[in-house]
Amino acid sequence: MLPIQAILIALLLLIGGIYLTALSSRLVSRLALLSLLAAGVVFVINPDLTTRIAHSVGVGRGTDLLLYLFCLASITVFLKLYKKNRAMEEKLTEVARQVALRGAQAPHREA
Amino acid sequence: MEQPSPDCVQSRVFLVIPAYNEGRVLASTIRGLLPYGYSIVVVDDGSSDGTAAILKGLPVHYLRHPVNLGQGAALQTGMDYALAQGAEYILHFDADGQHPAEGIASLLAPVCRGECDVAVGSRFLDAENVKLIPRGRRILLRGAVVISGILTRLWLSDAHNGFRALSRAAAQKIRLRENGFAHATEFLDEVRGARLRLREVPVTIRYTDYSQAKGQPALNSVNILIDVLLRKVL
Repeated sequence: MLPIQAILIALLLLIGGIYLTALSSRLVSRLALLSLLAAGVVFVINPDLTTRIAHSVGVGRGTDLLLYLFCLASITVFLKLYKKNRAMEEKLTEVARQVALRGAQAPHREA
Repeated sequence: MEQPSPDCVQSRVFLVIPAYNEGRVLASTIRGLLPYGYSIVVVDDGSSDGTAAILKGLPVHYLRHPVNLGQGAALQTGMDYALAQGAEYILHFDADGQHPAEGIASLLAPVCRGECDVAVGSRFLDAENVKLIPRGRRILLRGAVVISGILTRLWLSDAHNGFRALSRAAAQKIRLRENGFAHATEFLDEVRGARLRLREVPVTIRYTDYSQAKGQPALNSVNILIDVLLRKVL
């Protein structure tokens, strides 16, 4: 095994460990991540496999295929984060609005 | 000048004024409004210029967002409050005094007469008014009309006029979720979605040095457009 393969596999396992313990607790996303990591490990051990898959879909190199997939994944993550951020903003707005409504001062009559 | 019909009682009319660091101008805007006898709701959008102190002694309803959220959010908060206070008619009014107080009655009139649910001011219905609009701004606003028309399918002469009058029923149906300036487009979307009757009323806008400096820089409109588009897509 090449040193880079050992490093990559170790990092993949570390990421998997962190994600499973600290981040999402939803079964679906856990399974998705586990299969993604497993695929990662398989490709690290057998890099030619990516090239073969790439060829079968009409892409020249495995690296290129990975790059395309990476771009798509990044965009998906960006959109998900944007949506999440919006939802958070809406919650903050609601909280701030309630604070404002509760602290409202009506004009003093005959003041 | 057009007078609102008698069933449009002044105290039942609530002016919602969003204010973010408007300072002294806000106080003079409000003093100009007081003689008309409308209820005034100032929504301080997390200002850091002591807006509360400036308003001290003025007979207004004062609400404060603990953090700055944006004009759309402030308008919605003000509308929520006005509705809870029993408002029959709600107007959106600018803090910087660019909307003339005399224009309120003419904007309200068609809503009070029940001819429409929502009235929005337009700078483009009166040829004399159009001349008062700085050239660059005029071109920008014409462009905004086209974009807003495509997005909301409401073709108005002036898409981004913040001077609006709503009946109570209309205000209850409209919910602004767009905190920033994209709320102008969202507002029209909501009007259309709720099948409210909309009418444009000619108004004059005073372009003072203050409002010019404070107003939206032209480039910001690109930003707003992106907001609007993202909202449509997501």
